[in-house]
Amino acid sequence: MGALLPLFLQYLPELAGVAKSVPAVAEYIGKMIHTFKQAGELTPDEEEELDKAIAAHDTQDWWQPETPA
Amino acid sequence: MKKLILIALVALCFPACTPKTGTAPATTSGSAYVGNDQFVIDAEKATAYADATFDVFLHLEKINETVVKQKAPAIHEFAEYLRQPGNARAWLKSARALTKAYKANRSNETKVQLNAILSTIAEAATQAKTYTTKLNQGV
Repeated sequence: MGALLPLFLQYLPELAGVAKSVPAVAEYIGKMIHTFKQAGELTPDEEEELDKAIAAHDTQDWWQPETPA
Repeated sequence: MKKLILIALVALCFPACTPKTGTAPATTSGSAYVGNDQFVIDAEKATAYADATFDVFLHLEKINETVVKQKAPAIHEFAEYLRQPGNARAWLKSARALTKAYKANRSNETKVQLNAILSTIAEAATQAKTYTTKLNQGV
C-alpha cells in the first residue's frame, strides 16, 4: 500500500485535471445531442436559451483573455 | 478515462457548418409556429455547434493552462485569440443578430453577411475541435 502512494501522488495532478474536465465535456456532449435533435428553426424559447448561453460567456472565467487587446 | 472522453468527442464530430442555400416558407402547425427555412436551420445549428465547441475547448485549455503553455504554446495562443473581445464571443453574437435579421427580412444582403460570419466561425471551430482532441490526448 505504501509503495503505491508515490505512484498515486505522481499522477494526482493529471487525475485531478481529468476529473475537472468531465463536467465541461459532459456539457459539450449534451449541447451536441440537443443540436442534433433540432429539426426546424429554433423556437423563440430555444433562441432565448442559445442567446443566454452565448451572453453568459462574458462572465465565464475560461472565456476571459489574460491580456485584453 | 481520457480515451473515453476522446472517443465521445470524435463520435460527435460536428457536421458541415456552412449553411446550404435554399429558402422554404415558414408554416404553422396548429397554433405553433414551425419555421423550416433550411438556411436558417443550418445557420442556427452552425452557431450552436461552434458555441459548444469553443466553450469546451476554452474550458479544457483553462483547466490545463499551465501544462498547455509549456507543452503546446500554439494551443494557448489560439485560445487567447478566441478569448479576445472582438473574436469568438463577438462572432457568435453577430451570427445570432444576423440570423434574427434574416428571419425578419429574408434579404440577400443579410444572407451574404451571415454566410461570411459563419465561415469565420466554422474555420475557428474546426481548429478548436482539432486542439480539443489534442488536449484530450494529453497535448
